[in-house]
Amino acid sequence: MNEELELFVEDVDEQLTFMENALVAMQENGVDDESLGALFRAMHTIKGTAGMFGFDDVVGFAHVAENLLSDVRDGKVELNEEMIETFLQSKDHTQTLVDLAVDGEVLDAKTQAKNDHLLAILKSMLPDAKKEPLKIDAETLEDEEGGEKLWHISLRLKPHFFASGMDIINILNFFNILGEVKKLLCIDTNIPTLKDMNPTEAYIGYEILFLSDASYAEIEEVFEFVMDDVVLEIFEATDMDMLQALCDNEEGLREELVFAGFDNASRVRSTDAREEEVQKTEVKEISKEPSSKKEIKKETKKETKKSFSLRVDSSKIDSLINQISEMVIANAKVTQRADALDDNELSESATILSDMLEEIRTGIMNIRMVQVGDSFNKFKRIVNDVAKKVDKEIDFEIVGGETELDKMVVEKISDPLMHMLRNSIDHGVETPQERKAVGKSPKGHVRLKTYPDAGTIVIEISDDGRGLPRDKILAKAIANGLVEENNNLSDKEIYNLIFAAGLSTAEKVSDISGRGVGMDVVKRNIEALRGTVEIDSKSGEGSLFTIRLPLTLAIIDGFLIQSGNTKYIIPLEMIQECIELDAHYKKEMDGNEFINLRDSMLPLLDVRSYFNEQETQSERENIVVVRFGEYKVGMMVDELFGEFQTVIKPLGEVFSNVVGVSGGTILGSGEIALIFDIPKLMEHKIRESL
Amino acid sequence: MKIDKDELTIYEVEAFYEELLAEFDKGDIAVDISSLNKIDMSVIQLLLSAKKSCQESSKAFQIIGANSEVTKIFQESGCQTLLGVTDE
Repeated sequence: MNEELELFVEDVDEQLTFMENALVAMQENGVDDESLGALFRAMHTIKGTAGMFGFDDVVGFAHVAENLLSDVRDGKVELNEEMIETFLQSKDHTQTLVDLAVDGEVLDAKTQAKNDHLLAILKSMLPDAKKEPLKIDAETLEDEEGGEKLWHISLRLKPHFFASGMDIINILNFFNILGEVKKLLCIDTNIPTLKDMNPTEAYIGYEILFLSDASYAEIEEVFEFVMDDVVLEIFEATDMDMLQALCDNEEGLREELVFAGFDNASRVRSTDAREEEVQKTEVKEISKEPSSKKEIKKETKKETKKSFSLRVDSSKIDSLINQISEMVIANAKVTQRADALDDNELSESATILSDMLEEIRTGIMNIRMVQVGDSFNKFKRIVNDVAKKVDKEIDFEIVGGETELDKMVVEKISDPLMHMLRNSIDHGVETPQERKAVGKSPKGHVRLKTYPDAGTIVIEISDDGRGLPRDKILAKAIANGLVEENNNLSDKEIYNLIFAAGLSTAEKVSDISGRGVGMDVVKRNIEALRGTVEIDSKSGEGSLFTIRLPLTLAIIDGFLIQSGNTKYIIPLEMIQECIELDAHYKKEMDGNEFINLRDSMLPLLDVRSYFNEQETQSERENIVVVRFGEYKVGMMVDELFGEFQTVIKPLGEVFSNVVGVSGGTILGSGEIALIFDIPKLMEHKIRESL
Repeated sequence: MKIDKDELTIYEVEAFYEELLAEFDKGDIAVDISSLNKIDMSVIQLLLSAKKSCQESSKAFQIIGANSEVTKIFQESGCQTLLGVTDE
């Protein structure tokens, strides 16, 4: 696939997601003009870009959909439930059409049937059949209040233009859709005579007067796929400074423009006249200055618009992160060497470098961060579909969509979340009849909530359904041999048994859930992201799934400590405080594994004994208080070294069974430090104390 | 010279260029494009160049037999009048 086509596919993808979100939003909150506008523009853009590639099937279909949307937007037809449903189907169908077109395949019989069917429905929804929809389209655009401007577009094809594979005539035609082309002047001045010509190079250019309410960005977008292959100036036709600059740049252009009826061009001073003027007085020089400043301003304005959004292959960012990681390690080495040499200047430079590396690292990490809302919104539709299938009424709410999370994490967490949502609706929430019988409102409530908490991101899925069947889970687990018959498991532990493989309590298998594969996969997926998942449930009141995810994957801020002869890293964001384990505490402990910290009990974990470290004769012992979720544990360690930027390196398979260590890192000295897996250590501690 | 192709685009433009050049060396140019249904900008540009060359050396240049399809393309390209193309 060539680059333009790839861009096109991505663009369509974005527009369709946009459509879906707008439709679902309207399904929920009723029709609003803004969403309607967005909907129309999305379809319009798809039609336009597909047209540039000559994908006739897509254009044909999008055209009808666009017409209906245009009527809806203008209030000629009312958008009802049925229509939204049709548009949702149209959205899916458009995707199919685009996929086929991109692969260069023709419609198969089934798609063709679907195509005809949808077209018929869409057409039947139109208030009256329209013979000349394109023109009407242009008119409605013009009719919109204010905003209509006369634009001057100056276009020169760069010599390699034809290699782009785009047809400039198609692009020119697109202006007829976007507005009204008042003047189209073909600039052939640069075309050489036959003998000097290279027929595969482009020499031609255009000056266009274009009346439309489209914005600068919208006009520029027409050239999206050829931006690098043309020299483009877009400005309002009344902008004399730009026109002057344009004419100054190209000999004879002014005359051609005047001849072709570009009225403003006659007000532009001809090159000769200007040269004289410039020579004459300094005053003129000064008067010219503001205009050139204006041009510069325009240029920068254009630049910012361009940089508004940028698509980058994620592997490029990954490789940057990797390189930064290596630099962090290298710099740690420099710092250490500076300390060893007692070289203050070197030490200072290394510190500055380290600060800058930190900034770059944060910057790169931020590139990968996206708001979860964009991705989570698609769940709305899935929830709707599932609810319809199982005849339940669901009130679905997304809270904290603005929370930012690593894009890769968002993508990978999507499937597990979808699965859990389906479960909640299928098993958790009761049917409206059942709900009425127990005195609940017939509408079930499902909520997806996201918020940051102590260096992690928490995602909660809660419902107000019947809760998990505790006894049933336990019975099944015993039958499957997962737990002993005479256990004394806490409720929470029993609920968490549903993450074990092959345990489904659904009485009958529906096509949505209940096959017993799933929750274990969900858990595995989440753990692969270094996250955790927990369940809490109350019979008759509902269930709450809590997922905790780390903010980032590759580098963490760590805290370097030593226990015995080994150095360890504790993720900094989990640390609450460090205290010295002095004689007073030691006396208080009296052989127990907890202390009284400001009147609350703090369980302790002796790292030395846990990892079988050797006894050391360190002068003082320390406690690092770490928190994860609602749990706090004090880690008993020997020495504290302080903050350390930690590049996480995976450990080999040999270590896969070591509980409590999630990875390793290389220190500046070349030594290896192990990174604690705090949640796992806590789990161990809690289990031990039961 | 008569073109006996259905379409003429950037893919064929180099061969067309050679033909035009040979034609130009012989004298006046009259291109019969009645068989054509599709052209693109590279060809239009080449025709513009041919016309220019003819004007400079006082030769006649003519495009004949454009069908409505192709005339529309000339029109859309803004070069219909420049090249003197009419729908026949």
